[in-house]
Amino acid sequence: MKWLLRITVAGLLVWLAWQGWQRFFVTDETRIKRLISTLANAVENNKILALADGIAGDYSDDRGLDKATLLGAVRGTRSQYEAMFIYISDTAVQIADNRENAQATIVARILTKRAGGGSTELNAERVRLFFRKTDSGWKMTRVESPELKFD
Amino acid sequence: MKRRTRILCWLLATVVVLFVLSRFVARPCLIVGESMAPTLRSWDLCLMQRVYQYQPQRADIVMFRTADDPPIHFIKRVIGLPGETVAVSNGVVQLNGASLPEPYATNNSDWTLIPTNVPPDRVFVIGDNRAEGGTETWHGFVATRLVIGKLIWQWRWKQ
Repeated sequence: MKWLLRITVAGLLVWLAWQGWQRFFVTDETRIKRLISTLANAVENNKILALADGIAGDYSDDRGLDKATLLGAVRGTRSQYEAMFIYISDTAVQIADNRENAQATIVARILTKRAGGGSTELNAERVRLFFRKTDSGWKMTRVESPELKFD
Repeated sequence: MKRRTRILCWLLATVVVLFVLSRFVARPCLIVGESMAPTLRSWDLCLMQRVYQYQPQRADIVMFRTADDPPIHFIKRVIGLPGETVAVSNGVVQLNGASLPEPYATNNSDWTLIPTNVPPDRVFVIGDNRAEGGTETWHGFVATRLVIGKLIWQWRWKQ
C-alpha cells in the first residue's frame, strides 16, 4: 500500500505545481475562465457594474440585445428571484490564432428561488460566448445559443 | 501499517472504485427540467446503466449526449426504432400506422407529425410531458451512438 500513498502524494505535488504555474504565469484561457466566473458571480449577486465591466461596448447576442438592454434585462430578471446560484461546467475555450479573439462554450446550470417564498427551479442551458482582448483585458462581445446536434 | 494509513488507503480505494463504477458501470444523475414528468421530475435522482452499443428498445428511458463538445446530456423516452414509420396525429403517436398506447405520458392534442421514417442507427425520442409541449419535450431523431445510458433506478426525494 506504500506505493499507493507515494503515487497520491506525487499526484498532489504535481497538481499543486500546476496550480502555482497557472497562478503566476496565467494563460489567456485561464483569464477567460476567470472572466466567465466573474460574470456569473456578478449576475448571482446582482452587481450590474461588475457585469458591465466585463462586457464590451459593442456587445450583441442572438436574441437581439445590446449591452444596455442586456444589463437592464439581467437587473429585471434578477429582481424576480430571492436567490440565484449559477454553476458553470463543461467549459471549452478556444483562442484565435491572432490571440486577440476567443470563444468559449459552457453549460450553465442556474438554480433560482423566486422572491416571496416561491419554489426552487433548476434550469440548464448551453451557450457560446465570444471575447475580444482590449487594453483593459478580455471583454465579452457576443453570446449565442448554438443549435444542438444529435446525428 | 498504522491505523491512520490503513484508513486513508481504504478511503482512497473506495473513491477509485466509485469513480470507476460511475464511469463505466452505472452513473448517478440529477434530473433538471420537467420534460419527462410525470415519470421523472426536477430533482429526481437517477441511476443510468452505462451502455456502449445501444440496442434500441421501445419505451426505454435513455440518456444521450450531443454530437459536439462539450457534451450536454438529455434524458428522454425511446418511441420509434430504426426502420419504423412514426407519425403523430392529434397528440397520439402512431407507429407503422397503428396507435401506440402510452400510459406513462400526458397528452397534447396540438402535436402533429407527418409519417416519417426513422433512419437506420437512429431512434425517435420524446419526453413524457407532452402537455407542456415545446422543443424541450419534443426531441426527434438521435443517433444510437450518442446514447450513453439507460435508466435502471430512480429516487424522488423531493415531492
